[in-house]
Amino acid sequence: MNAAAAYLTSFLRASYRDAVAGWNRFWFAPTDPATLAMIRILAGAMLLYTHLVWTIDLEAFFGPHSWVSPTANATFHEVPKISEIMEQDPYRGRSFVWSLFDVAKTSQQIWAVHIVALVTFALLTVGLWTRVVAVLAWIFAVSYVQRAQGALFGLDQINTMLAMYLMVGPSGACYSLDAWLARRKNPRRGAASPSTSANIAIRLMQLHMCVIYMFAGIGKFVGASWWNGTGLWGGVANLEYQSLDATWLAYWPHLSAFLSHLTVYWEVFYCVLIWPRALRPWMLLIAVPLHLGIAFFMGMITFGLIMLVGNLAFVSPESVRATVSWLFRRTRPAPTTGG
Amino acid sequence: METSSRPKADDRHQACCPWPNELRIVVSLLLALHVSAIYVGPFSMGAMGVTSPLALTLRRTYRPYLEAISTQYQGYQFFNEPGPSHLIRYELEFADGREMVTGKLPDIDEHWPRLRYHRHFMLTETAYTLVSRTAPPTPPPGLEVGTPAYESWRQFRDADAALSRAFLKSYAEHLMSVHGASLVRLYGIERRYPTPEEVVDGIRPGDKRFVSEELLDTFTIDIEVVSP
Repeated sequence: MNAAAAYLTSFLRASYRDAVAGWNRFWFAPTDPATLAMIRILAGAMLLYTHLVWTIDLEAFFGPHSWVSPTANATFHEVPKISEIMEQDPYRGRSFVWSLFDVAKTSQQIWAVHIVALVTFALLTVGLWTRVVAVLAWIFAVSYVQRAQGALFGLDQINTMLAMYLMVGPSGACYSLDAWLARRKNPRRGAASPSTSANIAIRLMQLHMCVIYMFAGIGKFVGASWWNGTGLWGGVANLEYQSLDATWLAYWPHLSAFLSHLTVYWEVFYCVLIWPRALRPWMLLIAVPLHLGIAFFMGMITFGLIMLVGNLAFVSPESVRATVSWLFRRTRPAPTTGG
Repeated sequence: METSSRPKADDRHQACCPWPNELRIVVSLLLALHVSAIYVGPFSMGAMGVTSPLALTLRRTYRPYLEAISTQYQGYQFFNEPGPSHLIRYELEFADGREMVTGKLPDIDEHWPRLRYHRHFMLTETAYTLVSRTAPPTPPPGLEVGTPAYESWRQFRDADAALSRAFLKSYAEHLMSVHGASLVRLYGIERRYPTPEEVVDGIRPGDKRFVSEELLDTFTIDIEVVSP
């Protein structure tokens, strides 16, 4: 009896030690910030483009007489939420939503916020004063999203998610003007050193992507179309989404159904199959045609691309560095020989 | 005296996790709270308006944080159940006798680049979602006035009605402000897509038979409803 108790105690102690060591390795092992820096460039560029497009209709979406007026937007945030109606909510009637546009209400103020936001996103993309700019970029991104209810879609969710995690780690430690300026100041400075906060930022992105895909996948179980294999067809045959005509899939019902089923299985099991190193390249390989399909056949280029940027969190820094070196080797002009 | 060159467990641990224990514990707690929050966001949104009491309690607990970091509406229901698309056609009348102006949202010819088109498309889809989910003012059969179930139904209904009304009114006010119109009629257009069999039979997605239209609301300059 004593032996069994001793064995159990030692087993539990060992399990606890393993769990703590695993947790520490997962979250706190320093990593090369190359992947985080590449995500900064791509997400920063997408934030810049997204907000440049807002410029065309800035007052129509953010002004006092916008499509969704400040009053309608506030109603959206303030109507009793399900949790308030169904349960005794201690915060009943209170909204914790905030936006710079709560303060910037006149035309001049709105344009001032917008111009500073565009400069911020541009600085984030090139990586100048990155630590400060990353925080400002998240504040701006959230401000637009909280003010533009009714005009939002998946792109905005991923934009704000990536901006949030870019604040966490040193996303300007490489591939940035910050790094270039630091090297100019001190030529003996080496490559960016591994960083624990870079690892935390990447882990948060990875886990968030898993949550996104899991709920996107299980959400598809509710209706009939992803069961009867016409889910994908609903996207390609819908005239409002269609950008490239893929209605030829009507002549290939088995292919259409296979792609629909593959989409659901891939989304549901992403949160498990992306972690084993042997399966990760295959999961990422499927992500590319899936999201490029959304981008080019369903006219949501920005959404398709930003989902691929999110998937980049699963690409190792070594692979990012190798790809960047390869690209720069290819674009560098070949040395000329004297003749 | 130990002279072994093998790294001790503490050294190995230090190399793996250079942060001090106290900092790691604090950060671990924050990470656990954050990761659970990003799970609770979509989990508590439920499906088809159905959520468990546990999900509601979790949502109530995390709501301040989810709202503050702008993840409160993240249900990640990306293209869950494809259905017809919804557009808005509008008619504008003018007090000074100008000819009636008509337009539609989204307009692929006007709204370029594609992201701009999609923003306007989301406006019309949101309007449809809000209008369609608003229950009629009379309670469903079997629901007795004064009961907790009725009270809950009434609160949902009133909230949905207020929201759909606020959005349509806002769209009308915007059109009045831009065009100087004195009356706005908003029509909801629904366009279903063809089945694969219909396409094989030569019917195209743009076929007029897939389109239906109904008047959503009429607004005058003082934003009074004339007729639904």
